Amino acid sequence: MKMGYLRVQRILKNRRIIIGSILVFLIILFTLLTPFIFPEGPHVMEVTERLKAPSKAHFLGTDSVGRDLLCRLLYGSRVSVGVGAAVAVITMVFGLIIGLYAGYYKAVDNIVMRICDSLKSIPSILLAIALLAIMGSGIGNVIISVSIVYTPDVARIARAAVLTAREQTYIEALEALGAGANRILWLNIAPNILSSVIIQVSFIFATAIVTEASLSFLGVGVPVPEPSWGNIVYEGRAVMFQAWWLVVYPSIFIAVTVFGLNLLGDGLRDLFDPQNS
Amino acid sequence: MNEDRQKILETKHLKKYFSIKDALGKQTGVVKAVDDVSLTLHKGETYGLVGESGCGKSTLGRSILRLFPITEGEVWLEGNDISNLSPGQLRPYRKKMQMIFQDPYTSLNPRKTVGETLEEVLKIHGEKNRTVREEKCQEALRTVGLRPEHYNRFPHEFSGGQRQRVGIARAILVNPSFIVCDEPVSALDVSIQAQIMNLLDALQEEKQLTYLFVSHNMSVINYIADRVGVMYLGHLVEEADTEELFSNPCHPYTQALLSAVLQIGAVRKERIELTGELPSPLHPPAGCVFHTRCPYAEQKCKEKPVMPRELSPGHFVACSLYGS
Repeated sequence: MKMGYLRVQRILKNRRIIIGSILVFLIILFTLLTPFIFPEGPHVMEVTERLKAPSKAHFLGTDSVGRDLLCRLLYGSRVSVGVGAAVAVITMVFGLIIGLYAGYYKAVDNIVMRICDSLKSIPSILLAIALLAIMGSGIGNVIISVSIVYTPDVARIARAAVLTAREQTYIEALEALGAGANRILWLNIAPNILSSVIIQVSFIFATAIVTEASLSFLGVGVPVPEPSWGNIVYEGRAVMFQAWWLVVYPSIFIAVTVFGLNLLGDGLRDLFDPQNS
Repeated sequence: MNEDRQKILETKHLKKYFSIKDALGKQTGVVKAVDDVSLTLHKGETYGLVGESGCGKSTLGRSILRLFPITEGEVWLEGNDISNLSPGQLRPYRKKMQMIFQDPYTSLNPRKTVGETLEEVLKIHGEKNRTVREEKCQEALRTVGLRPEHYNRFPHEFSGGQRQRVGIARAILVNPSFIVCDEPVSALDVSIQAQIMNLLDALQEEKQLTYLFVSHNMSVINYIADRVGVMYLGHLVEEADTEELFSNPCHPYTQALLSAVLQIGAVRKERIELTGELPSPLHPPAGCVFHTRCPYAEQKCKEKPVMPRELSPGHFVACSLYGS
């Protein structure tokens, strides 16, 4: 696609994209810079400094064993944003593959989409907990289970887009020329449906962060002491009435990140798909 | 008159039924889109196929190209039966038969330049050398009257007529002997229609192409076709040389179609109006499919299907008015 002057102008005019991408960019920047800001790591305990309110020494206060909250939140963002990003990539790849073949082959469609339907009929958190109960906790397993939960969403969007795209006569022309299914799917349909998939994936990125936080808050996600936004809230909950900052600040981090990603997703939709907004 | 010429394409009792299934996959009905159509196309001729929308003329074209499996019957291309070949076995034959589409706006991939679209055709058929590909595509563009600089443009930068030219270039790129033209001009402005038809004519002369020209427009068919077949509800009801058909239409349906054509300067003929709707192909009438709307229908038309009869050499009619 050509990146013309008009397109640049449309991006600049789109305030959601601007704000969304600035927020997402800042979060990713902090996530990457964390080891340089806090070279000592997230596990340093100062027992004398337990449950200190935000101050100059500890910007966001300390937790019940005297660890610096800001430091733990930033290291936690590596886990939370990392899980979200990994889930986004995995669901996009698998969702796209499933959607493409399901949209093109009726036989595949009947089987695969029924499996997707049954996965979607279970509440997502419940399904993720069940999967983690089978596999055990840990970052890798959180990524796998959350990906399984959200892949059907991408597959459905991709399949719907394939169904429209394959009705176009240029696909028929390719069939009349003897083009193979893989050429038609990957070189002609996939590029044309990528925008709708990317939009969906940007929302899944945000949802996956919330899901990981919920799982960790429930104690089945990322195990302590490895910090994630979810398990920081989980730990802070016990002392919530003495140290409000242990619950409020992680929640703000989650909220801002999700807000930024959702803005970006909305903006992308406006950009790729002007008719539908 | 055509007997000595080479047969390019022949269909024998071709049938294409679409089954209607409910949510559980149980068959609840059958649409007989093409029902027992036999026709023969000779080298270098244009066979016009007319009929109202939904009569199965496009489905016939697509069945011949094997864009979907045929229900029954045979399709012979240059002496080979292609009706039961697998997609892989069909591939060499795909070079010999091509299609030009009705809507030039959806027949080109909006994200590919004209060059990419054309080169893909050669890639499919295994041309690995880029320079050779580009040369062939540029030549095809020249043949259809486009300029070399159009090669790197996107479809949205073209007018409808130019896009249709690109579609024609794509079809002739593999040097086919037979092309299905599926209403290639009906989506274009009248002034452009003439240009495209002249282009098709010139290409036919130059490359000895055979066209199956599908249209609902009688004047377009009159202009371009050598022989005409009239379709009604999946059946071929009349077939004759163009002149013969237009001067001496025999089937009541053909007569009604022709009486609806406006002619400048001609004395207005009596207009034959058909009453009633086109019956649903899901439940086609028994006997002659046309009897529900035919002004001459008799009892026997409702009972027994009519077989085509040759009235004069090359003129076939399926109607009991001419003996059954």
